Amino acid sequence: MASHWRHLVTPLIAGNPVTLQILGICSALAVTTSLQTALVMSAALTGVLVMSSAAISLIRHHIPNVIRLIVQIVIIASMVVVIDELLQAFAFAVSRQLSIFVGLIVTNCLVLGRAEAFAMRNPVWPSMLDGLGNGLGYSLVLVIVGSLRELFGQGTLLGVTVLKPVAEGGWFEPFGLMQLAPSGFFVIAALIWIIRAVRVEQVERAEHKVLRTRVPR
Amino acid sequence: MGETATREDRPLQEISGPARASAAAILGTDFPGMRPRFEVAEGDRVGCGQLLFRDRKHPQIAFVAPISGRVATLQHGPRRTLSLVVIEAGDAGAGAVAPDVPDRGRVRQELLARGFWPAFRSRPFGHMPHPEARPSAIVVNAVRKTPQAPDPAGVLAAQQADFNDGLDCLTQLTDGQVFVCQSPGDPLAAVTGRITCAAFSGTRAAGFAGTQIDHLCPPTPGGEVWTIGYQDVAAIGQLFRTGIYASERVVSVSGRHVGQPRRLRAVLGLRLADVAERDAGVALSGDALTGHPAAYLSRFDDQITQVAQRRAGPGASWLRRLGGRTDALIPNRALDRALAVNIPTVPLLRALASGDAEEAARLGCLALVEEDVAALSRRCTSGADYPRLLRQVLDTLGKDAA
Amino acid sequence: MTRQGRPWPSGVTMVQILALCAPCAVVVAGDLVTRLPILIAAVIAALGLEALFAVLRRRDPGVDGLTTALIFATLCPAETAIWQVAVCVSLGVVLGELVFGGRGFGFLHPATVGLALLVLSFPQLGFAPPSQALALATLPGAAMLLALGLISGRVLLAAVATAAGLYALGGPVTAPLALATGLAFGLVFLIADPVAAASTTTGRWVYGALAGGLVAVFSPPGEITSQAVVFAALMAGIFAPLIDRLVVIAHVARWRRRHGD
Repeated sequence: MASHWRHLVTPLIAGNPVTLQILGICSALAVTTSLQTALVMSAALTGVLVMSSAAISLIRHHIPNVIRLIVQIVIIASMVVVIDELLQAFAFAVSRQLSIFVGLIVTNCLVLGRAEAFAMRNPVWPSMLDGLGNGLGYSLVLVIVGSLRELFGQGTLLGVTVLKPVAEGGWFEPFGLMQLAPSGFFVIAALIWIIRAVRVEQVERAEHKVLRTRVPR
Repeated sequence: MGETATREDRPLQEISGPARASAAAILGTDFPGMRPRFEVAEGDRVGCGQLLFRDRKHPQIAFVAPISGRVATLQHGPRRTLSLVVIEAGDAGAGAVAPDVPDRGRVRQELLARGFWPAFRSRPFGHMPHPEARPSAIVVNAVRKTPQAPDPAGVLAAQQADFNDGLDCLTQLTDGQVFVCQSPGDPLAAVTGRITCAAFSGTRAAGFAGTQIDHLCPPTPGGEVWTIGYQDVAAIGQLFRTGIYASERVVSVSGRHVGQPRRLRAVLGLRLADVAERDAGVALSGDALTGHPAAYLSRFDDQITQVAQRRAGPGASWLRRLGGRTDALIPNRALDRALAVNIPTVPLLRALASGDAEEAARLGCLALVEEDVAALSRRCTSGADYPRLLRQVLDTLGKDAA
Repeated sequence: MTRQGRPWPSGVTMVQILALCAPCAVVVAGDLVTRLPILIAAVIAALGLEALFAVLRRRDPGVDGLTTALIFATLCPAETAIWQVAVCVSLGVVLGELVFGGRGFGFLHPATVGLALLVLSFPQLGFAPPSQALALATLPGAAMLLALGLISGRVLLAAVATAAGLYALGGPVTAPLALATGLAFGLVFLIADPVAAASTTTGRWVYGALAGGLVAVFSPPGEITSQAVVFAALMAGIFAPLIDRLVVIAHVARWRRRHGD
């Protein structure tokens, strides 16, 4: 039992799906202009990931190998439909903001990747933990990116004003770039940079060896 | 290029008689990676032209003694490569070599056996060529490298017949052309169907075989081009005429503090202390810019330069002399002009500095050796040692090809 | 002559700082009260980050950031707040060069990056068109850099020719001097920067033409704005490595054709 916890803990930072495997970047850019959408998206993806991992793992011995991708997609798509309907029922405003990105969880490489790489060859409980761990790892990145972009782009967090903008009599000049898509890249790149500066083992091996030679001046 | 003539050295034609050599050496640094199989022992008496050792990989290739005397040192380097062989001048004793006129029908075998193979260098890689290889062309470098170097026209004037003979022998090694590269002036050799004279002038780089090859006959992939010095060609002609192994070459001694720049005859690998002037500074094998302090003259140098102190990078780019932390390559005009061959400079330097052997090969680094890129190190803001980087890249490529 | 361990500009940086003195002095002296704090903030931000990275990477600190700060302070709008200057210079220095390992290892000028971020983040800031005094003060520095080979005449020529050509296509040019004034400083110090520009002979023509064309495309009709120059420098700089790459491929292909492979 305890040995299964690594499935949950490893994907948080050490094997984070976004910063290490660079998966799920599209949605991480698209839905992180505010913390609220980032949180909802995180919850939706984590839910889909846990449920689809469980379902796929449960029937993994009965899935014919040649059509396994079709089966996996069908299961994931069903989960996404469920989650989407739930969001529309109970959080209609947010679901409008997220627009098609909840629906696009179907094609999120992260979900299919975990199904293919883990759920297909592991029992249900580890698969669920793995799904949860990866979902939380993804959520962690989304929350960090969403917080930074909302805080510096609008001066608010979850809609509550933290840094008062000039327009409302404060001092803060909203950092317009933060609301643009490239800043999502910048923030994620900076995260990856920081993580790899600390965890040197994540740095890819250099293609060429730089030879440092100096001639006397 | 701002690195050519300085005041003190006007061409000096008269060549003083043979310098008395106390010792001569064969240096491992001239033949990197070559592993010797010694045929003599320390203390043996040998005659000039007598076999000293063979290349372990290609036993046909013989290295012979440049002077008569006693074998003083036989030294291995790392991984049984050659480090140093020193012959102390003296009586040949039983080892004296009698003149033996070689067979003109077997030029290749004679050159291999009589110690002339090490005079050749092949591009790519700049190593001694394979005994069986047939180059697509042979380039004889008779360009006056610096104003201080011996003037090839003057040197060859006394050996014209031998030089032509030697060139004729070279044509038997290749199916292509033998190019005599010279400074502008009267042709140094009799031009025939397979022997061509080509004039090079301008910058220092005109004296580099790499520049000449780039203009005349760049090696195609899979092919190779050999280079050889003009005095070696004359010595080959002499060998086939008289049967005597000629180890004397004309070299020059110059330097800021050398009273009278001199041209003199000296044996291959001579001990620099024998000809260097006292109190005229450290003796370099080579010219003031690219020479290095050494005890013995390199096989491929015909110039000895004495400098006051361990030089502090003469000719270094003023951009680097200004000091400060510099380790990046900032493209500038001096860099663009430093490479005489037709290769985009900055991409080549980036490939070399990042150890990207494949890219460097695509750009044409296979046609280069150290001397071709030496000027870049002085001009580049990064101060990277490009000759060494080039050698490492060439070694990588050579290993991949093998 | 070594000055290991002490921050001392490399030869290239020293010459560039010298060239930047006059234009920067003209702008700062023109409005000392607002410009001086901007300059000081930019210098502190740039040098501070270089020192920080030097400590983190255990290397000798450089002062290459000084050129970044001088260019930024010369071009940025007068009403830029101090913290905006600090943020944009910092981001420019970090994203433009320190990420790559310092001056000469990246492919963009950090001042270009910083200014582009400033324009993108705070679009409400109004860039004043460069004054004639600034353009005149640029000339001696440009002449020095050109003479010393630290900017390429090919880049300058191609950029000016392309921009002029495109403006001429758009109709009669009424104020060519105003156009030159708008272009001068950014062209010399941002577009023609040796690190940002292409580094092959043919590449420099193409790069200069691309930059000049982009300036004309990004500018409103009849004038050249600093924003346009900054974004042209950014875009052209991004394409410079690609241009060099294509030139090298063409060179290799030509070589092979000529020597029969």
